[in-house]
Amino acid sequence: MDLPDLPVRTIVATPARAGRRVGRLLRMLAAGCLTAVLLGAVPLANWAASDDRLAELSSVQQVTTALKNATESLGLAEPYVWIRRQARALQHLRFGPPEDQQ
Amino acid sequence: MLFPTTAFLIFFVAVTIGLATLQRSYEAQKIWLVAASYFFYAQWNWRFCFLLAFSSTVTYIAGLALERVRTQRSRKRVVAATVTVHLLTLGFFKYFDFFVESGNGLLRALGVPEALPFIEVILPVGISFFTFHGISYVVDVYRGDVAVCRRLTDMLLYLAFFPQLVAGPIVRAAKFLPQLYRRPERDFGLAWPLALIVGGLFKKVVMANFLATGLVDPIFDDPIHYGTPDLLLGIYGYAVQIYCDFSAYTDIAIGIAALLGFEFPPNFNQPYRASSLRDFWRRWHISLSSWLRDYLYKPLGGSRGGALFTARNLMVTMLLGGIWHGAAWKFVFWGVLHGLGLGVERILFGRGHAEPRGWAKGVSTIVVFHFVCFGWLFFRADSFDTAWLYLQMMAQGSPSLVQATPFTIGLIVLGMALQFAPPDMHRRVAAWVLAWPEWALGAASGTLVLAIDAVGPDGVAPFIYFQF
Repeated sequence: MDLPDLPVRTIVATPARAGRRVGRLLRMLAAGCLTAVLLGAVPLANWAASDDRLAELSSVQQVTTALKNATESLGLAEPYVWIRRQARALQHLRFGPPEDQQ
Repeated sequence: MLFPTTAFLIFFVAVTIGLATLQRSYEAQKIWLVAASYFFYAQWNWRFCFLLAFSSTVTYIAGLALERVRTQRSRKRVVAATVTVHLLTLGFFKYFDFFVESGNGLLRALGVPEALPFIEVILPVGISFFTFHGISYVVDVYRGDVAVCRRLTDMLLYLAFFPQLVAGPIVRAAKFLPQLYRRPERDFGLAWPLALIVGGLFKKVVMANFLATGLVDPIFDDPIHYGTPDLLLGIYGYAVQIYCDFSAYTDIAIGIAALLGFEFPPNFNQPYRASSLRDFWRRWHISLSSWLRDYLYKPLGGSRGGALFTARNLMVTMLLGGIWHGAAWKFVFWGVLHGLGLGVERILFGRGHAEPRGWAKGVSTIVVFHFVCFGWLFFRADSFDTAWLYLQMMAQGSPSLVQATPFTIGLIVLGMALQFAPPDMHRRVAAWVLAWPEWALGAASGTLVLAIDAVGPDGVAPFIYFQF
């Protein structure tokens, strides 16, 4: 039951000077944190509060209502439930949960 | 303090600054790492730091005692006493309530009204892992596989080193302690550890978390309201979730340790592409399965006897492996299931059977994956009864599909695709950026981490293996 020879064992490993390694690590961390802070501070459009959202929600609503009517007229309730869940999941993914669920 | 949080990032930056300040003395750096690891552990419950220190001290003293006592009988006694202390500690914190509950159930069934005293024992995070570290050290010293650790600082760091403290991988003393005796001489660079960390964050924050909240948790919480397709996808979803969750933790742990210059053993190797159960256990939680092999299966006799004798040993090993995961009958069943599977495989195909090829390999892979999924159903369900209800609902054959979405199904497909991707994917990714300067690697990692955070659902669920 020998363990497989995994690539993680053979990853490039070179003789190192500890000071150099920690110095590089610190510089990398500084650059990473600075990037995250700068990008996090960029004012991106708030989709959830924009008019586009209302428009899109409205169109999603129209489509799902039309599908609901169509499927119910065929006597099919289940596919509507599925479609409605897809629409909600789509809205949730794009805009986050509705305010009453936050 | 979870890995994918800002708190951990701040902690890690502070640890690195401390190491940079103390780089003239490796001893001082180790003391700093011990302090940092205990601070990390105290974020869950500071009282259990004393338990961790107790386990480390007992292990350290046992090592020294093994060196001093002369007779084989005395050496055995030292090992037995130390293993007993470790197992009693683990048993009390992890299994006391389970045994009291089961004992009370038995008493009630026998018509005895007296109930055993019930204490709500809090489970210390990571106790199973640091206990196994302690046991492996003492047994290895006894067997002569590892030199006695003479510095208490080294032992404290071996059991408490923060990347592996709460959920492994289980690092053998023979692999880790020599790295403490001399300053790490190997440099893994920044690219490969960062590829592991960023990849791990994606698997945990995006894949595991979305699968948990969007598919697995709702279905397992209330299986009675779902049809067969949803229930089936719920199990597949959990198979991918637990893989992404646990392998993410170990990838991040290996990456963090490598950034600090330490080498951890691998813990996963695309487990769902296994074509036999034996193969699966060589790929899943490798550090635990190899621990069980070396400290339980082989001492029991291993495969030195006939097929039935081997099957018995496999059953005992997997049963205890199941109980290691938690104090519940569902884990007992899960362990027995895998023990039975391994035993039957051994009896049918014999020792060291050849790997199937061609279409037979494909069929075997599918059969093994579904066997493992069947086990995951019991592993994930709240109780044995819930798992049974889940199966009954699946058998009813209702065709409704209301919970799974194209997105969650896509995550399952992606999780399975990872099993068949090149096994050295992280190394290949690292090779692309190997020549980048550190500021460019930092900026790229910062951007990716921010993107992962933006894409993932709100909040970070604890890693599944924290409970073990």
